[in-house]
Amino acid sequence: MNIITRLEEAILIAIWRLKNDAYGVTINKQVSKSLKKKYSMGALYFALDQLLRKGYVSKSTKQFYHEKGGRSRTYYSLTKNGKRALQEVKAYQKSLWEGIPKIAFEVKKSR
Amino acid sequence: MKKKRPTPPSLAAWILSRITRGEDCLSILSDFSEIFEELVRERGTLKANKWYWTQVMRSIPMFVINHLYWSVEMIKNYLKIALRNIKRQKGYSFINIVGLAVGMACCLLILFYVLYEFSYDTFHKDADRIYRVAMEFRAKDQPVKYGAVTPPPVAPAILDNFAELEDAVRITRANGIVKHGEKQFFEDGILYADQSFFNVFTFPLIKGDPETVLKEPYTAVLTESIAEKYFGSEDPVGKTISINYQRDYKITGVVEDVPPNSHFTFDLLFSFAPIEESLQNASIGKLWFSHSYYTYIKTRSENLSPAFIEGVYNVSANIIGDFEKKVGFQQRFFLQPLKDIYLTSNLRNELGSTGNKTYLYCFIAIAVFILIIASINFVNLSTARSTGRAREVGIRKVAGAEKKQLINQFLGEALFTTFISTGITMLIILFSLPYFRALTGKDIELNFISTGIILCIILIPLAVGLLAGSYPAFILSAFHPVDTLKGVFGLTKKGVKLRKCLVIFQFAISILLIISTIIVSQQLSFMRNRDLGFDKEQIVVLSLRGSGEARQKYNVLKNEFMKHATIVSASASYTVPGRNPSSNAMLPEGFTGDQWQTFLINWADYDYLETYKIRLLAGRDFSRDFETDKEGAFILNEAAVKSLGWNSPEDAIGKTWNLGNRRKGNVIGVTKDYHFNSLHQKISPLVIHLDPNYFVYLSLRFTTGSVSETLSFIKETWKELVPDEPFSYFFLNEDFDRQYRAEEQVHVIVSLFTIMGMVIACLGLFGLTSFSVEQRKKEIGIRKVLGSANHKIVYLLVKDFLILVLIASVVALPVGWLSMNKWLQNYAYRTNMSIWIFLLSGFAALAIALLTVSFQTIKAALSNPVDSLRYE
Repeated sequence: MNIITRLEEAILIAIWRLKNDAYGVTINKQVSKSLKKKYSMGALYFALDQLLRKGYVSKSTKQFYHEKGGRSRTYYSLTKNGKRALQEVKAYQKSLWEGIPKIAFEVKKSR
Repeated sequence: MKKKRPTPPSLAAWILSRITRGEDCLSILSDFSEIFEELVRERGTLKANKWYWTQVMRSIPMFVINHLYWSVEMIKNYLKIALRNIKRQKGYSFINIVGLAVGMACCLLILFYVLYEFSYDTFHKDADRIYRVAMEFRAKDQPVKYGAVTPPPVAPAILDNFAELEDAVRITRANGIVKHGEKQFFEDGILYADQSFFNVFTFPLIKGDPETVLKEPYTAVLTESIAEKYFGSEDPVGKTISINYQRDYKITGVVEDVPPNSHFTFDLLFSFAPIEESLQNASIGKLWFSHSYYTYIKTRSENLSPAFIEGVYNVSANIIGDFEKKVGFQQRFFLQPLKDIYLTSNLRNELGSTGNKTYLYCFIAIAVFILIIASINFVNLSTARSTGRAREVGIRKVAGAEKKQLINQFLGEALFTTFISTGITMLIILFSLPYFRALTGKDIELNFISTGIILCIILIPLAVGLLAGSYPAFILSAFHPVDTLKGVFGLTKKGVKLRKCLVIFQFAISILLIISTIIVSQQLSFMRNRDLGFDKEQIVVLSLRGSGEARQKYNVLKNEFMKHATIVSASASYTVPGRNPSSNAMLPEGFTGDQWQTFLINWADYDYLETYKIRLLAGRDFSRDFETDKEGAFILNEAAVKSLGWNSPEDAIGKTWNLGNRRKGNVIGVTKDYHFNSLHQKISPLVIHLDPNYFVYLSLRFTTGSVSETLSFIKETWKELVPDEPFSYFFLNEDFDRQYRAEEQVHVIVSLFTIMGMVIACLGLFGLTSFSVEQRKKEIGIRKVLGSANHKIVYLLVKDFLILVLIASVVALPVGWLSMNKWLQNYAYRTNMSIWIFLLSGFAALAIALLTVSFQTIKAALSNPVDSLRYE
């Protein structure tokens, strides 16, 4: 099984959540929000490229002419493999946590 | 009007556009500016700008990594494809790689040789500031003579008068018997030199201080190998050696052996003191006209002022101008840069053998030619095979490859192929270098520290890769994807034409090389076999040098040798053919007073003409029957008679002759002209006179029979009669032919590389034939089915190539004729270039091409049409 990084996991989930609106800006916002950390755009694009190479996401470039000020955007979407990878991660984490009660890691508020 | 949209900082945006990969660039820039605009709206331009900059800066590393990652990925793919192509078409790849490797190896070997020749005298530390003073000698009514030698007062005179001079050294050559204890040998590598020798030149001393070694009178410095020869493992410093059984010299130093790329060489170096002593009481005339000293100067700067050059030119006129006027001789001096001496100087009395720059340029031309032949193979085979790659190009283009990328890919492939070839080239060079060294007689070393050699090894493959790769790269990358994928793809007419032109060019060069090989070898054999006017075979020459005992006893020796059955004739002389005669002022009949004429002279004994089989045109040889022959007989050669304007050889007999007021007498004989020098030179006027005081050589003519037995007899007799004298001998024919060493070397190099060039060209032709046969496989099949005869098919295929070779001959023949005609002008006596040589070269090329082509074509013609026409 391929273990993907936390960032990649977050990106995949973000893309799934964003559905048809998953492009650089929105993905970055979503990921930064869920991981509570500001990622540089460069780091994000690199991770996206890696996911692309592994075949978890696919991309399509759309050129806007009048709407959105004539920008070009690269939209990302999950592939079958991408979805499977997310499921695998989830299952893996579940198996990792199996049998451990929540209480075991409760931090006492001593201070 | 719309409100102006906020724009991100342009520099940052530009950086961003540079570091992102092509296809994503636009959307990444858009993403960035989207957030930027949002920030401008929310927090103002300043904050937004700051954000933009920090984002760009923070992103740089990741973008760069991403960039590299994808580049590596592409290169991996290119490499894989390149390797697959090499593997898939083993035959072509082999021809490509091996042809290129052999071509580059030939080229590099030649260049190493050339670099070596250019490296002469560069090892001196201040080589750029060292000059040799050479001399122009003008005598009344005679052409100016240029000599490497100068009179001894020149060096002190210019050293005193010019502050520009740092130092000067005088050198003179000598030979003699060197003796230490029991060991004595004849040495001819002796130099007498001023103490400044080691200051001017850089010859590293192993022992002794360069400043002082030659300071004391009667001191000597030995080279390492000479020191070992006389002293073995002992330390020679402080010991003494003697020369010609006279004074002892104290050894003060040992110098490393002279590098082979020095224009002069020496084994022993003696202090100048004895020469100085001998010159002390000489008159001004004698001092300034003893031309046997070499003067080298070291200047303070590399730039010479015109005043200095002028001053050196007139140094003699300024000091002994009046005297010069009186005697009617003028000497002027000019400077030769040290590094140019070996290749460009070819004066009288050079201190060592000199090279020839023209030959080097010819060699460079050959090297370039071979490289071109090999590169053409590469271009031709790559473009010919390009149809095979057309689909790949189509797919790549459809997948979004740019033309630039494709060019890079194919250029890279070409470089990759040359890189593999370079590896093989290095192997070839490593294995062949020892043979090449033996062949050229040059001590060429593969010195990887030398920048010249490193540059050659790096630059040549690079240049070949780029030059040979660029044309196929442009052709391949220009394919139309739609056409290639549809399968509508024909051979471009232009490509075929170019290929044909290149083949013509290749063969024209090959034929040119063949012509030059044949003509060089013809000239060489012409020189070796020409009737020289004497018989150089079966003569052994003994040296009478030494203490003088052998010279005094030459008659005894001669008579003793003559007792042996195989020795038929013997005679002593000052010089022998192939070695330089002396020259002297003489007064022939009809000239009076001070009308001295300079003639070359050889002092020879009775029987000299007979021993050398020199023919007489008129008169007689020296004879013991005439008492006057002992001191007053002169024999001229035909050229001398002509130069004096005398009507005929018979006319010359009996005329009076005065040899420098020392000897007076009559002309008794005139010889037919014979080549006492090499065939480079016209036969000059020569006088032969009998005077045993000058004898240096004893020539013995022997009949066929056991040479070794005769030689051992000669040696034993020598040991018996003059046991203390060193015994040294040479065979005249070998010695004489040594004058053609330069030609021999050229011949060896030219013929070797002609063969290599031809082989490479044929490799290419072979590749092209098999390609064209493959292309026309179906056509051949159909022709055969329709009843075409085998030989007609062979003719059909061969015709195309033979026409090219034919055109190549037509192009090459006139060029070859012109260039070889020019080369032959170097020789006073030359072979004639018959038209047959040219026709032969053309035919040879044609035959070789035919042989190369026929293998593939015959195979194709004999093949079963079913195989080629069947669809699988």
